[in-house]
Amino acid sequence: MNAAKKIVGVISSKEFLLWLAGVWIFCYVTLAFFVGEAFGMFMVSLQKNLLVRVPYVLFIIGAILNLIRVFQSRWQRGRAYALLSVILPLGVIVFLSGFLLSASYRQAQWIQVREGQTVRPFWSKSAFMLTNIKPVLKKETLQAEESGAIFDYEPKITLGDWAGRSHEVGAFPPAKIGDTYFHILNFGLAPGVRLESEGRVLEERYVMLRILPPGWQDTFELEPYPYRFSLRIAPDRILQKGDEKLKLYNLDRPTYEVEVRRGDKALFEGKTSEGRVVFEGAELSFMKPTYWVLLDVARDPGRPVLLWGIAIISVGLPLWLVSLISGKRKAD
Amino acid sequence: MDAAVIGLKEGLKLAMVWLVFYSYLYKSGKRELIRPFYIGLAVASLLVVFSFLTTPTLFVKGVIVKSIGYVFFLCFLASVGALYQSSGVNLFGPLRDLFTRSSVLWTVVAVSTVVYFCPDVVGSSMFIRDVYEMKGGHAATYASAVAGFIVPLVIAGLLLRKVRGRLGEFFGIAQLLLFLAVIKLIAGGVEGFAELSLIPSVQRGVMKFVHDVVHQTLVFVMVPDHPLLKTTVWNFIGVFFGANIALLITLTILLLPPLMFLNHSLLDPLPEPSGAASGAERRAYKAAVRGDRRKKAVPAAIFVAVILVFWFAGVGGEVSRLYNPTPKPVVEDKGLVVIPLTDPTMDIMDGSVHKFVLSRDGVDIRIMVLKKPDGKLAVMLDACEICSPEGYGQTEGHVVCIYCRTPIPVETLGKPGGCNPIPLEAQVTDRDIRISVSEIGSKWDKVISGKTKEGIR
Repeated sequence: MNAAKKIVGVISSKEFLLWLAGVWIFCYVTLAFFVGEAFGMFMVSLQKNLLVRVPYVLFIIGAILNLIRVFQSRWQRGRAYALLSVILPLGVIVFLSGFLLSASYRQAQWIQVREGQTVRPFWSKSAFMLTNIKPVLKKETLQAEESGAIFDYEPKITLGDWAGRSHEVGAFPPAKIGDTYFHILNFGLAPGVRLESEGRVLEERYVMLRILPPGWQDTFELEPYPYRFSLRIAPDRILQKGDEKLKLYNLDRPTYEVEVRRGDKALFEGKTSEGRVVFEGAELSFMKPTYWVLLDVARDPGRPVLLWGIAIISVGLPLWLVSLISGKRKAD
Repeated sequence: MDAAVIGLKEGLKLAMVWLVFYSYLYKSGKRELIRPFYIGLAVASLLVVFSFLTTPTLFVKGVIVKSIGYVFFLCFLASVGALYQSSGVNLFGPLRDLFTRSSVLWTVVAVSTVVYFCPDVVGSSMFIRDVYEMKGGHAATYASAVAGFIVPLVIAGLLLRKVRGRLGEFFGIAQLLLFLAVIKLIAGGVEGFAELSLIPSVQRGVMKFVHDVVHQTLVFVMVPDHPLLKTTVWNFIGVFFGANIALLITLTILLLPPLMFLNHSLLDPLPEPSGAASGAERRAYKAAVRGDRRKKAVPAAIFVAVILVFWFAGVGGEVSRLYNPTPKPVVEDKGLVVIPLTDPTMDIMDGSVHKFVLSRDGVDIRIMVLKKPDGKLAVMLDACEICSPEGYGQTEGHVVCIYCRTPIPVETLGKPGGCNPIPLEAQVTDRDIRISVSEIGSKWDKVISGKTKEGIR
């Protein structure tokens, strides 16, 4: 019993907390100086290494015990002062706890899907059907520059579950369905392509490409055929007024700049004509494109704790400053 | 002249530390500890001789330069602990008595002296030897360095007896450590006075730490990567990655401990004497404590002033300036891009970023080459796996992604993943670097299309 009391006494002491913080700073800076990527190493160690996890947990416990002790002593000096001064450290403790939970128990997966396909995280028994993608892009897109400005519009998708319920998912904040969070990390265009030779269809499918915003180039292959296709969306019209140049893209039925290669040999370079290109007796035709999304899916018990931590810190920081001033006045 | 300046700088540092340390020991009645200090200096001198006789590798040179900054950190961390201890908290608990044993103190002083002086003097002696060789082996180089080194020591020797009593009143162990940190911070370098300050390095380290914490938090709370965020949202998040936040946090880290100590020394109520009978005795005791506190606060105040002066003189702002050379055009030759290691306009082995541009099918592909501190060449695309391909600029010890301002340590270049530049497989011969065009093209295509994004996390 005495030994347990002594251990609690050590853990709850300010000195122990300072030593843990000092040792962490020492190790972190030493790694940063001589190895590099110290934070990455810390995160990996926090997930797996007991030599890092145990002191981290002890730090949180010590911080809680210290906070209780400080709160009790300040309560004597004034209730408002005690409350104002403990919210910030409480927020830091909650944030650090959320960090530990996320680092330890987070399961995450990236899933690239297009309309009509199913989403099933590896830890989940439930599957969801991607029923609709709202790209929030106009069918005719006008761009002054070949830049990322197109992403000023955040897309949305609809996921349908087995019970027939629909869930809308956007880029931020993530949508929670069951115990799993979903949000869109990226999205793009998936042109439908058909490869034909001598009137026979060799391959027909959608290819999920990164060709948005217009001007970006992506490549794909249709195995087992030996061709490599490079694609970018070409403007349908270019409007020029003085020095300013505006490009008009039709995303409903895009015109593509296509390059077809077999090994190092270029077989075709140019724009699509009536939605197709012809090379070496074969024909690649483009059907109406659809959209795809890259979903970031995670089950993370630490996320709400982390968010609470950030919220409490945001509230606690100004209150802590107020408590500093009021505490000084009381001391005077 | 260069050698004399370096000699003078090292001599001045040693003289100042000697004066202060001796005065501290004299005042605190621990004069016997000056002997391990001299032993430490003798060991450091032997290492200087050793460094003259051997040719250090680039790796060793890199470790020496890093060690200078690291020793500053050790001094600063120890001074923060000591300042805290001197404000009344017993950080050592039952182990406190250990540090009163003379054998322990002897060892600590001797080892600390070697660790403190070694990186600077060994680095400086290497620099002087380089100067000697550049000047065709002129003996005057060494003579001027030795003269520059000895002059401040002679002056310090003459001053020692006169100042040791009064100077010692200003220094406790915490103030001594803070003084050592200040000396390291403003004069810890090996290539001349113009490149001495460690402040930009500290700022870059903090910026990297802030960036990593913010990025990891964004991943955990599921904020999407920048391409999909509205520009205004990304600009808001970008504030946390900027130089200004790092500057503020660095200033806070450097200034908070001495400011807290100043607050304690100058504003905290004075303790009541135990056992003092009369009011006069109490007043005398309080006056003595107040005087001692004020004197001990002087080094902390000087530390704060030095940091602020150097910072606002513009040293702290250096980190935000990036070296971003204009790419030189290269052409394909039989499926290869060949980059010469030296030509009349550049030396690719000079440690600076060199950029090249290959025009392929109307697309400009940028290649980046940089010699790392270990002497190896890193050959990369001037693009990262995450951001839009705006490329990198160089700052001391790092390359920085121009899009998201992530600092990448130079040592980690050539490794794939994260915000590191995408490495290229290249053949490095005695005369040139050879990279296959298909290697360049395939990796650049992935950058442009963002396919490499799937590989991260």
